[in-house]
Amino acid sequence: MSEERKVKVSAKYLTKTFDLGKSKSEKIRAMINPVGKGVQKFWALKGISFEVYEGDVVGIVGVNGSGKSTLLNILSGLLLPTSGELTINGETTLLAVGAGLRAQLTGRENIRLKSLMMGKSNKEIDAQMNDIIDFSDLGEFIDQPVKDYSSGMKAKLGFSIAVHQDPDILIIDEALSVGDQTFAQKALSKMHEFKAQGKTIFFVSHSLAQVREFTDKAMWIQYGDLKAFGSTKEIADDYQAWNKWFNTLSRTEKKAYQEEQKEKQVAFSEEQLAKNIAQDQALVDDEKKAISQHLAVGDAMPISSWLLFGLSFIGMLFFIYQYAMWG
Amino acid sequence: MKEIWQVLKEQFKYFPVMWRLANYEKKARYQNHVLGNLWLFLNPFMQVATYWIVFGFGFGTKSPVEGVPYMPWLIIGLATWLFINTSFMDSTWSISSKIWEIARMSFPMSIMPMMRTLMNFNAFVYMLVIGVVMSVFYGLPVTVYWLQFFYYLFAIFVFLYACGILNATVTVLFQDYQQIMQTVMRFVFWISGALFSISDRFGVGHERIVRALETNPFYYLVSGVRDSFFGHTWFWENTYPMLAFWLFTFCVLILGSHLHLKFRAYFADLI
Repeated sequence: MSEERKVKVSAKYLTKTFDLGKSKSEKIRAMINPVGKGVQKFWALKGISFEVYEGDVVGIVGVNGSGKSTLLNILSGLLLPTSGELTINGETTLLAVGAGLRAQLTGRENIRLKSLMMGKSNKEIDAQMNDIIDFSDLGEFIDQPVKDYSSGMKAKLGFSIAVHQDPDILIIDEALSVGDQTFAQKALSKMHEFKAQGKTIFFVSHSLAQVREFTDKAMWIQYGDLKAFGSTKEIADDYQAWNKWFNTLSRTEKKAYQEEQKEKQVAFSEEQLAKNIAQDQALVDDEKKAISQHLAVGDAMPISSWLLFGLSFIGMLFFIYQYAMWG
Repeated sequence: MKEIWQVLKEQFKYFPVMWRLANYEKKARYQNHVLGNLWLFLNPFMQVATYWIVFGFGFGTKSPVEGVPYMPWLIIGLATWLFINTSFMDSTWSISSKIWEIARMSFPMSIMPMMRTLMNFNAFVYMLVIGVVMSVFYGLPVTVYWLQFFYYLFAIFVFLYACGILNATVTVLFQDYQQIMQTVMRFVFWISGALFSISDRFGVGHERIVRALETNPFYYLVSGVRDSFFGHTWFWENTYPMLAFWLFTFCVLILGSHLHLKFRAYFADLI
């Protein structure tokens, strides 16, 4: 069965580093020259690999600061991975609480703005408008400015807009945890509809109950590593067990544990990553090399462009001189 | 060259999106104001009134054109300057302030500066029409030279496009750029020729300085738009300033497209 299904998202040794305590100019310099001398880096993702197929509904669980949001931001195209390979077949739509809603505009106006940004024409939007408003359950509030909405109402509006954009890959970041039960049911049935259409959904929630209810696969991300990836039932049980164990620890033990994990994320290195990749049997040698390399910032300006730039500049100075001196 | 082409292609490919967004934002801009879109006119006309009183009455500035009073001459120049200046400054923050809203959208960020320009275009046209109608009322003849306006309009758009890409990109990388540009533009205003003819101010004996000042691209555009209505020469007769202007624009375009493509994937990391 899985051979027939198309791969929607494939990640190989995805990493993301954040530079610790650096000014922006240093960041830019580090980008241009990634192999320059190492300033301390924090590895938010330490090389995670997975494949997600069409029709998959994948839950992502993990404690705060484990790298879930970073992963979602990479999947939605906001951030670029530091290294690794990411293939996404289709358009992604990210849905986070209140994401991209403008507070001064009314709900209706926000629907139009968001849809325009997704490339829809006004005609298409008019045709969809009533469906979106109906689905959102907002009633008269739709003509109120969004700044007067409760967080649940914002989530409803955001969800309604997102699902009506007909996304291939929908990424839901905590957006349903604030909605009420009725709306959650409605959202669930919409997600089942998407699943039947072969769409892929990533679902992040702190509510394990929701993850169990909505998803059939789950990823457990723990301090930058993909700790486990499998059926939701197994992963959710494991995660719950781990949480239980963690909660038995005393406060100082908890703190020590977290510190230790964070230190590991700072201590992780490119050499370590390369070693991990080298041990992977499933990869070809060429691939290994490509994956372990830092993704370079766009090409340097080609000589021809520099030449053109220089010539134009000199030409400009010459003409200014000519004009100024002799008219 | 490839980079210029790539960014340019994005502009055309996503022009419908850009157009619709610009129209929408225009509507939303003054939505919460009691006077609404009237501000679009009130702002520039208060400026015209101020400069007219200070320069027209106070300093007794005359328009260099025979038969045309200072007021319409000022309106046409100031309309052009305001359009260029507003769009130029808007482009600096067009990406950096909206990054969270636009980074995940299905259009490239390179269309944002041009979208800002489109938003300001209406106000420019209305003000220009008022200036021209006024001049005709005072007896300005309609000539074939008026067609040049379309050349200068084209030049304004290319110039704003090139500067827009560069401004928007550099502001993301280097926040102070916006403040620097604000200061620079305040100075440029006085040599843009929007308020008075530079050569009249300097008088005889300073022709070389005057001409050097007049090669700045802002003066080229502002005086160009004026010349299309008041002048009796074709734009290609003004050879050296024309070449200097286009070479400058081309330099900015090379630099802007290159930096934009090089860094745009990292914009979210940098803000």
